[in-house]
Amino acid sequence: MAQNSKRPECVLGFYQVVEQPNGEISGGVLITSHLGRPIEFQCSLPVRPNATQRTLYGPTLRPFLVGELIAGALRDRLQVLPDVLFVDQPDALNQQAWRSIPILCSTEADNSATVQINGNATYWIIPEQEKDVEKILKKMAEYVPESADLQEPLIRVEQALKEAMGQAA
Amino acid sequence: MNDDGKCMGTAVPRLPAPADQLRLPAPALPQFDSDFDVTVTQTGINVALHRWPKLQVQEQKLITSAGFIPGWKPYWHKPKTIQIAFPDFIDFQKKPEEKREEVRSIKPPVPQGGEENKAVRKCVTRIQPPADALSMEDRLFYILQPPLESWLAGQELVMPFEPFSYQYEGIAWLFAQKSALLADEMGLGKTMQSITAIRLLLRSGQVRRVLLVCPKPLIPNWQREFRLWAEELPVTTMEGDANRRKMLREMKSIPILLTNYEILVRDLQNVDEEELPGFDLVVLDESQRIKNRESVTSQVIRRIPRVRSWSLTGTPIENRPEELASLFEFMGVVPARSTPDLRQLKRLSDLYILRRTKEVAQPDMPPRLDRDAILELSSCQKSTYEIAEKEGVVHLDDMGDEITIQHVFELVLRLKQITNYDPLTGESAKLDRLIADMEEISASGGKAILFSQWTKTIDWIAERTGQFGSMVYHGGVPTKKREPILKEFKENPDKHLLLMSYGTGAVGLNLQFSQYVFLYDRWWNPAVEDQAINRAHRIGVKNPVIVTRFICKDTIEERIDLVLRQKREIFEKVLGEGDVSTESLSLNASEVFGLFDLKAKAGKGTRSIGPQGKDQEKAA
Repeated sequence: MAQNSKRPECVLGFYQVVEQPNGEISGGVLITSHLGRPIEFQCSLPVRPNATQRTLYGPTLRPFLVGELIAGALRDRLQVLPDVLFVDQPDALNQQAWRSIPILCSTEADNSATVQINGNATYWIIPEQEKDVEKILKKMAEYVPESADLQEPLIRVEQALKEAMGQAA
Repeated sequence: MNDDGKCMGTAVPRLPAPADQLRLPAPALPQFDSDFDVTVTQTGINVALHRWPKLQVQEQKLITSAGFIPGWKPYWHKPKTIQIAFPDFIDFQKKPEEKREEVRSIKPPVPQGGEENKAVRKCVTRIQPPADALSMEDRLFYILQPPLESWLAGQELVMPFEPFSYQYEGIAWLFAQKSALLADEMGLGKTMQSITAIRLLLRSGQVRRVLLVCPKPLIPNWQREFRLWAEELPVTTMEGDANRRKMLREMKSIPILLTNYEILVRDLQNVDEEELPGFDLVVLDESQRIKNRESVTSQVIRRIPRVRSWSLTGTPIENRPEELASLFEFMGVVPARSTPDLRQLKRLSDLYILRRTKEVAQPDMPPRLDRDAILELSSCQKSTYEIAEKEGVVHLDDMGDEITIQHVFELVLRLKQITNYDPLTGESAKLDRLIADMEEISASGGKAILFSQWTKTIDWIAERTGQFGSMVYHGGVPTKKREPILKEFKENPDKHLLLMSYGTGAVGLNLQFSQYVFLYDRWWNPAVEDQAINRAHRIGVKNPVIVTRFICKDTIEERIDLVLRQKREIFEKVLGEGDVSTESLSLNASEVFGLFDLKAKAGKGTRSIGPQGKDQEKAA
């Protein structure tokens, strides 16, 4: 019996946000091994913008909160940074917080390029990250099983956020 | 302004601009006549006192920087975050690769692309936090675990066979429970579910030391099941002399320690509290063994320091609902010596018991077909029986007030033995019927299991059924020889009949390749008979299982059967759920006395007269 504390060959990140009816948004990121086993989870307390901020940011408020503010806070606290980050909301496809970590978004986003994983799943990426994405896709092909469901961990994060927000309420 | 009050411009000489200042030349202002009258009063009152203002144009320096501008910069506090760190995964040294033809890896769930396929995405079993987990960290830990189907899909953990969906649910439930009673009906795979949950707990670093306690005859069964379902986990069986066993239980590096109730009690009975070994998880198989909370076994087991406590039994209540209280006390969900009422027991059951029946879990499972073979005793057998009964009853009557339940019980046993075979002539209606049935079964290549209460009867039958390749499996067979017997019975096509005792063969064995079960004589409690039958009628069975109960007409067997049937009907009416296997159907003292029209002694009316342990077969 030996404790396996070394970093897995390929570390995956899954970032998801949940918005409540009252406008509060909280986000969480789950870091897993290439086989989906959880390594670390960070989630934010709910963020509620005030009236001034809503006026100031206008339609860019949500992209700012999701893509920069919450994402930045989570990234700063992570002890294990992922090799790649999966998101399913276009607002989260923002390089500012995650810097060099390639982001793959499963829904269409503006000003983005596309890549295919396992030949059947389309992901949207930031064009500037195209080379980094290529590299990580090669790594994933080596370590992540073809059968892996890369959307499933986002459901876990969503459930965890709802649980956390429910308890915090 | 001129004297007429007309406004006039006057040119003022321009000054030269310093080199360091940007100066714009003042515009030339030609003299012109204004077209309006201007009257300026000095005081604002007396229009007579006035003087004409002098109008001049001068150069002015322009401002080149904005200077102070009031502004607002949005400031956002960084959101606070919560962190959950997961224990590192535990690696166990893998055993050398062996070619295992009969084992196949299950197919992992395949993510499907496209909208259509999303709709048919395979159901996943998620681990839910237990109701008693209160802290957010604890609850999130369970929620964030991967679905069992992908966790066990052969990526990190290889499963030899894909579990059924209800088994996934059972594994997920056990994984999250600190206190659990898995009470699935016999044959639904409690062993496999427990092993897999233990495996997940060990591999995810949630537990380090597990103690598994089971009846002695089931040790080989557990060893075999661990090899099948969790081959990488080292299982250490508590055996050898006292010193070796002491060393084993003190070794903290042993992840799974397997022992039986008797050895555990013997070893720990006199150990001081502070010297007791601690475990992260204690699992009791056939946990009805601790239903009596005053028994030494119960007391010794409750003293073991532990974090998690699981019970496994298909019959959580054998006699009285209060028996559950003893199991709950072991599980740590009721205070010591407490006596929860039925309402409280029900509430605790909802929280800590998971029970599924075959009808619910496996609606497509081939049915079990019960048939009673009502047999006429042979003439000699009948004569012997009648003499024995007459003499016995006369003897009991002669005893008067000195009669006890034990005396009646002895007569019952003696008569039951005669219905099995006549000890004087060797005649047996049951054997005749058995041989007739077995000829048909063996001719079709089928396999049958026969249960009896007595080892002596089993040996007697074995001597007379050699033509069917009969094999004997009872308490008199050394433990080490039992596994090979089961293996040979399964694999040898010439072996058609396995003769077993209720005590040794009724629990924990997987004999689902047998299509026929004979109950040569009746046990006191149908729940035990059901356990025996379920050795064959369990998960994996491909064909219906035909169960034949031998009952001799006009004998004590028929009367016992009648009483048991009446009791079962009453329980069904009371419970109304058709799940009567958990309730007491045993005969009590009054009913045994009633078999001979004798009155039970006062105060003993509800005492069960069934043997306390199922291993009393040797008493015969």
